[in-house]
Amino acid sequence: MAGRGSTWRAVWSEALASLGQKPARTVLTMLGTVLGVGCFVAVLGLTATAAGQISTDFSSQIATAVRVNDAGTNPAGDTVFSFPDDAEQRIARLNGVQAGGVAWSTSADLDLGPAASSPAEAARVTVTLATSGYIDALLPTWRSGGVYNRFQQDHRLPVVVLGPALANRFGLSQAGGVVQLNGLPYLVTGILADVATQPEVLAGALIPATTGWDRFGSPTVHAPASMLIRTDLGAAHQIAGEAARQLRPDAPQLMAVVPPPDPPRMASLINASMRNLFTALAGLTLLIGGAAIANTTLVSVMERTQEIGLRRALGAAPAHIIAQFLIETVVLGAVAGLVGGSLGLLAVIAVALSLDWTALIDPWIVLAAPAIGAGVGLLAGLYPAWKAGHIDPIGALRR
Amino acid sequence: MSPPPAVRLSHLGRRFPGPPPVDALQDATFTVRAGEHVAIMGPSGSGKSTLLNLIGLLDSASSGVYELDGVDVGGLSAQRRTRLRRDLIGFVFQDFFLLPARTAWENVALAMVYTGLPAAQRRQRAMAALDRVGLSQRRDALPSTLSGGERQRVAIARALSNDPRLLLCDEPTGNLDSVTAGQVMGLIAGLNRLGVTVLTITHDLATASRATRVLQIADGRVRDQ
Repeated sequence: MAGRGSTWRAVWSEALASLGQKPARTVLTMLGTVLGVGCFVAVLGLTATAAGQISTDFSSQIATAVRVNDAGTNPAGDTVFSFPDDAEQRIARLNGVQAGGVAWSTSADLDLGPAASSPAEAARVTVTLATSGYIDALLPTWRSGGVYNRFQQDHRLPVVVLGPALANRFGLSQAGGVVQLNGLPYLVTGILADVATQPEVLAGALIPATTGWDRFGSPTVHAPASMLIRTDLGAAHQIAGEAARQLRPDAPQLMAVVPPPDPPRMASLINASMRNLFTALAGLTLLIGGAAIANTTLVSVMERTQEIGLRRALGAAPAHIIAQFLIETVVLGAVAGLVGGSLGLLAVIAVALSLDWTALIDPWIVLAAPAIGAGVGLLAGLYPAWKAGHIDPIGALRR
Repeated sequence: MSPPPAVRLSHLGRRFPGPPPVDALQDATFTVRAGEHVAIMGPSGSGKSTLLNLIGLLDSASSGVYELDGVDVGGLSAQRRTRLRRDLIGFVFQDFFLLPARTAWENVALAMVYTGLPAAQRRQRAMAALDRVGLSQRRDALPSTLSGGERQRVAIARALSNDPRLLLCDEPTGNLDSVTAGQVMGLIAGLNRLGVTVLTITHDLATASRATRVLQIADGRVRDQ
């Protein structure tokens, strides 16, 4: 039985048939939208994946580090040291602290002595005067040996931990040797391979604070002491809130605590800025894709003017013609969105696999891709379809 | 009661606004009875196409009255005119206007796309129409593989597929050689004998000679010969 529903179904079939008549052109027309939607999905997926990775990295390294700076002053002299002697023990009593210690740096011309690979060489090297807890809080990995022990510190023994660069200059590959610094011998307890934070220590030497106080100088306003505290995951902000009173209950204002950056917030900021940038780029690509559909459809309308005139002569109303062209562009856009969304998803998975990350993508973004493409197709098709619907059939048949 | 005339024109005119305004058709008054085969002859620029467009409801008259199958189409909405054109009129054009990427039967079925017929019926009726013009064996052929005469027969089948009351033929043999033209006009004449009203516009005397009545048009004015 004849009916309006059948007519619209037939218009739908006509649109699909028209799309299939020139497959190469159909594919090329879709290309812009494929790229646009693909970029859109890939950008959102990659930013989510990268943000997840950033969160993980921050959590394991930066987010577990609390720094306490010495905020004291000393009008009577250069030396400023507000930390208590038992700072390490005090901070270790807080629940959630893994390690912590005090250090300050000094820079001096060091006589590397006859043991050096280049004889009689003098060099300016950063020496960090640090308690063993400070070195533990750096999360070191060792090429050889390890950190000096409590006994060596308490008895101000001449021991040293060398960074890999300095160890090379001394020609050392193993801990246990003796090196001379400023003409004095030091037993090498360990050679660092890497640290999680404060990478500058890798270029210098670390000496117990007790040993170095007299030999290399006390902390000053210009080279103040600070404490590095390594915490359990999630405990950093709690520790940061308690550290000052734990160290100096009598004068907590002397302890300037620097909490770690908030990882979710930082990740969110990075995520947002990346997403905004790339979403704008994806939007631009979508716009270009839409323009490609609009342009090709407009050309198609021009080419098919006689066909449009014929259809009008055969009883098509303007609405039928408009619907046919709109269906063509919407289907083009939807298929392009589907293909682009799939390619974008594959790109996210490929990048995540290659970097050994966990791919994160909101399934709604993938599911929405065909709808985004269809929307682009609809907008792109409005003008050409309107133009097609208003072609004068007499003029069209006369061409 | 006798059926209404297929076409009745009374002082029909079509003026195209200028500048300067052009009276492409003036004071056309004639009737085409149901079942009649009328040819309208005239030189190029005489107003033949304007008259065909008006009768085919592709254009609207500036003055006068036009009744199609007893319905005064003058005051009808565009939508209603489209529906009347679809349901009552079949077109055969000089240039065939077949869609090159569609097969013969798909081209015939195109005329029924806007009628609301289900796809299966459209196909069935397209096949029947091709059978009527003797092309059922070429139903899956693309237009590019058909001869000129076959293409025009496909176009005639397309015009017939909706069972029109009026078949409007615009120079139906204009692109055909004389032998093929004779065959096509024989086919149209046969359809007329089966009851289809035919109005043929032509400047070819041989084509017009197949009609039961010939009208002359010159300078936009029609007269019965």
